[in-house]
Amino acid sequence: MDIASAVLIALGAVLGVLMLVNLLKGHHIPKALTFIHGGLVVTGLILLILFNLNYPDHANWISVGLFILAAFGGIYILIHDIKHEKVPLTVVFIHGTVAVSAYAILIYRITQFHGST
Amino acid sequence: MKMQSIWNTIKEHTTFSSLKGNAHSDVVVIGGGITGLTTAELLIEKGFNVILLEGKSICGSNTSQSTGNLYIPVDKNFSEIKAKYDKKVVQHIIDARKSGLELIEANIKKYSIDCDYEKVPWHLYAATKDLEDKIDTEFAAMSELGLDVRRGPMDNVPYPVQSAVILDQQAQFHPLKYGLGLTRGIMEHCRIYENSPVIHIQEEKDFSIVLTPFGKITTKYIVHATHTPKGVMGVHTLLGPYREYGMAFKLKNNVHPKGIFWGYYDEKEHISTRHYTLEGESYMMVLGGAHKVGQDSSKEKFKFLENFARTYFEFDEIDFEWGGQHYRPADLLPYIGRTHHETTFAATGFSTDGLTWGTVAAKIICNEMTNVVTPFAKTFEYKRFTPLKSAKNFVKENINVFGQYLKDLPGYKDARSFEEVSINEGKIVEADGQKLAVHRDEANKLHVCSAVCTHLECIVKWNDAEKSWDCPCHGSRFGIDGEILEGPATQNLDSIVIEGHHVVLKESPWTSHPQS
Ligand SMILES: Cc1cc2nc3c(=O)[nH]c(=O)nc-3n(C[C@H](O)[C@H](O)[C@H](O)COP(=O)(O)OP(=O)(O)OC[C@H]3O[C@@H](n4cnc5c(N)ncnc54)[C@H](O)[C@@H]3O)c2cc1C
Repeated sequence: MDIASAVLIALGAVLGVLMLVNLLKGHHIPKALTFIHGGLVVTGLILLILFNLNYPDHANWISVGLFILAAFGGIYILIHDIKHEKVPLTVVFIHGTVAVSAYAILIYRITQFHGST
Repeated sequence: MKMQSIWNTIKEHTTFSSLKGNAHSDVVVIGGGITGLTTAELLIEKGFNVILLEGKSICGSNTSQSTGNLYIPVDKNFSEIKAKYDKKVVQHIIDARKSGLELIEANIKKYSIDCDYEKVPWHLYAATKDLEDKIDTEFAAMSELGLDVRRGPMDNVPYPVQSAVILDQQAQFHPLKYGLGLTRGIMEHCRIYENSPVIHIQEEKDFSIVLTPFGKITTKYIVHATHTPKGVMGVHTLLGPYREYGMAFKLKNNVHPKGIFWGYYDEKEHISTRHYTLEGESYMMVLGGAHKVGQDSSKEKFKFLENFARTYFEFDEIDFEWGGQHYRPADLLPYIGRTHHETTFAATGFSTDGLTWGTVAAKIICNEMTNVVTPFAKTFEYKRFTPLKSAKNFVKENINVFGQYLKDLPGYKDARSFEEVSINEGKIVEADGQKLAVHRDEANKLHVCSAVCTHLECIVKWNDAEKSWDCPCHGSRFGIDGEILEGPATQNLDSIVIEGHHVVLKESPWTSHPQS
């Protein structure tokens, strides 16, 4: 479950990078990308929460907390973007940095967990 | 054939200058259709200092694209409404609409408006045997509500009628003549500006600031009388934007009785016909072909109406063709009154019954602003929360909107290059990763702008008969160069500059430099 979560979030991250490229070029961000990005990472996050509940001894609530924080940033960015307003770049970078940190911790914990089992 | 409604043939138009500089008022009414004009009239009577801002020309939008029918019944039949609501609510609909009709009649008398107003019967008929049930059910529902209905026959109509329900003493008028008559009646006491689209509203606790491209108004109250409120509002998720079409032609020798005629031709299709005498000649109007904005071909809908017309009427050519918009409310009732901001009011969700609903809305809003109780106002409260009654349409409309967003994928386009856009066509072309709305006009000139709607960033679609870019999500419409025509958007489509292989978006100047 944790691996599936990592895969989905990685796919979401790829779309996130595509969106960032569009944003930096001053281009419109295709909304299908936005919603698929959101859908993938939310599903990944739900799987991670389920994993934590199933394996409390190996639970990784730090990643969950950070991903939730990143999600708030994502919603904030979406609200500005969809209203055709300028997206605040600082929030975009904080969103990305928090998400990447959460992901790095997730990968570290996955390698630890699967290494020990 | 002219792409304009039959009503727009009148010559006696009023004209007003656009707003320039700063101004103050008690109330800014945004929108100069029947809703805005009636609201302004009532508020002036109460002593308010009113400014009316019209984005284009007075009554130039849906009011002059309507059929001009005035009636108590509603587009969603009473039988359908009765199935959803208790008797009190249905009675409120009847009371409200009766009071709207009375107010229109009173205004015609008060301002001596010559608008061809006359009392006529309203007819609802089934064209085929299998639709007779609909008429029986509606007759039963209306009788039970105490409306003085009778059954057919309908004489002298050229189309097939299996069964009909008739309500006498309804009315018809020339909607543009009425609107302009009302304008003349109030213009001495109200500052009216045309070509003054509201591009930004700043709501503070005790006052609001309304910006137009060249002006700024500080006001206590704002009324959105723009058919659908401007900007991003929660109510947009409760409205289904639909486009519908009309045509008018000179009859060769058919006669057609006076009255309002709504016919069922299949479960969904509802066609309306009206006779009108223009400059001594006998004209027939045929209206229908409703579809979600930006999600069907308007040319096909005109063809469908023409087929209907040619089957039942004799005429040479179509003289007028036009389109109009309506917004269907999720729980079947219009949204009228105070919004989530204490001093801002709005009225929307009139479906195709808005000449009367717009008048009712004016009454409710004026009463609310002056703390007068309107007995039926609660039923139509703008902020009402009716999750169970709204659920079906809310889910249907918003899944549809979500589906439109999911089509906005990188690479999605109608044509690969500008060359693939033929004369009179409009296509979405992707260049430098940008979605562009490209139209080639009759003179072979290209018109290119961003295809991203400035309301909530859906990708616009080409309207092949009306030659506009229509947003399939919430119904904003734009001209070939991206200029806003109607709907909730307040900004034009972004214009573009092509620099070598790069496409650079330029925001509408209004976005970046509203007059402050
Ligand atoms: C084909 C068709 C037939 C119909 N027939 C009938 C009928 O027979 N009977 C009936 O009761 N109803 C009918 N309706 C419905 C009716 O036409 C409308 O509901 C009604 O006209 C709405 O009036 P309104 O004043 O609210 O909107 P509108 O007439 O659309 O007026 C709104 C005004 O706001 C202006 N505006 C928009 N944005 C801005 C801005 N940013 N700043 C300033 N101004 C702005 C617009 O230019 C416009 O003039 C019909 C509708 C259609 C589509």
